[in-house]
Amino acid sequence: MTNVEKEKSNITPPSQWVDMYGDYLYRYAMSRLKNPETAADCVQDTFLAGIKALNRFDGRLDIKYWLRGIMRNKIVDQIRKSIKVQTVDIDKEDEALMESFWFKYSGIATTNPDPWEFNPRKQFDNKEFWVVFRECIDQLKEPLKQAFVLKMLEDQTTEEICKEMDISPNYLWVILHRAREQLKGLLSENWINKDSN
Amino acid sequence: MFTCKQVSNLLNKKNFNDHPLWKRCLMNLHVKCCIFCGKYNTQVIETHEMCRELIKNEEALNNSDCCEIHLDESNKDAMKEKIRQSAESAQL
Repeated sequence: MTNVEKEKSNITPPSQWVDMYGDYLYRYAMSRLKNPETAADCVQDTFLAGIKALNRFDGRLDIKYWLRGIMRNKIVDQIRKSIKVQTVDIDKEDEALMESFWFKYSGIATTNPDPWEFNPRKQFDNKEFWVVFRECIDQLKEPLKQAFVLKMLEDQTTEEICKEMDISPNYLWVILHRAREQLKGLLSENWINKDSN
Repeated sequence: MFTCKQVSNLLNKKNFNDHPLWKRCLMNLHVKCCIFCGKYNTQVIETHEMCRELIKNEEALNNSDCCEIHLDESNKDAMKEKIRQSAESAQL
């Protein structure tokens, strides 16, 4: 029996998936999708897709991460569906930003963004910081959150996101710029307040 | 040396850490020296780095049993039933 066959014979049976991986996958889904029902549906769809594709599982990866891989696709699909329901409004402020000299000349919105109120790099070893950071991403307004999650956490290309959101690459750039600004504000507020409490 | 627009385009196209080392060095050099886009693009790079670190730390966050986020029992029971039915029809 080869190593891969041995691994395949040792995989957790689907009847135990919910107890073993349910909460782990649900937390992952909740970190990307705000809605608990949608996240639970995503976990269920992942398990069902996993059963169907189990004969293609080669045993090289822990089944937990294989299921997570399936779920990442489900999450991207869910975000795409929710984008289709919402329309992305381009307001006058955004249009002005894209028409500005600085944006056209250098591809940047402003030369002097507000500085961080704390040094984020110094918090990288602090586990509590990542809990707060994730909560702040959750608090981003739609469609900023959707674009941010797809681009920054799910590694979707600019072309794919623009196609799904039906926007131009320039406008995606504006959305991501606004998401970063909002995230910076939320982080400063939540992290500094947490420290002072 | 890259121009401001090239740095902005590169950061827009891919996350900072997904670029090859030589491009990252040139981008770092540019943002450290540039009085026009330096502050702005430094913050873009910092956000990219924070997201990369978050992904690294997510594993521990999602595995943590003390986390308050979990599936409720009724959801788990419904899922188990669906899995049972699906496994039966797939003849596992």
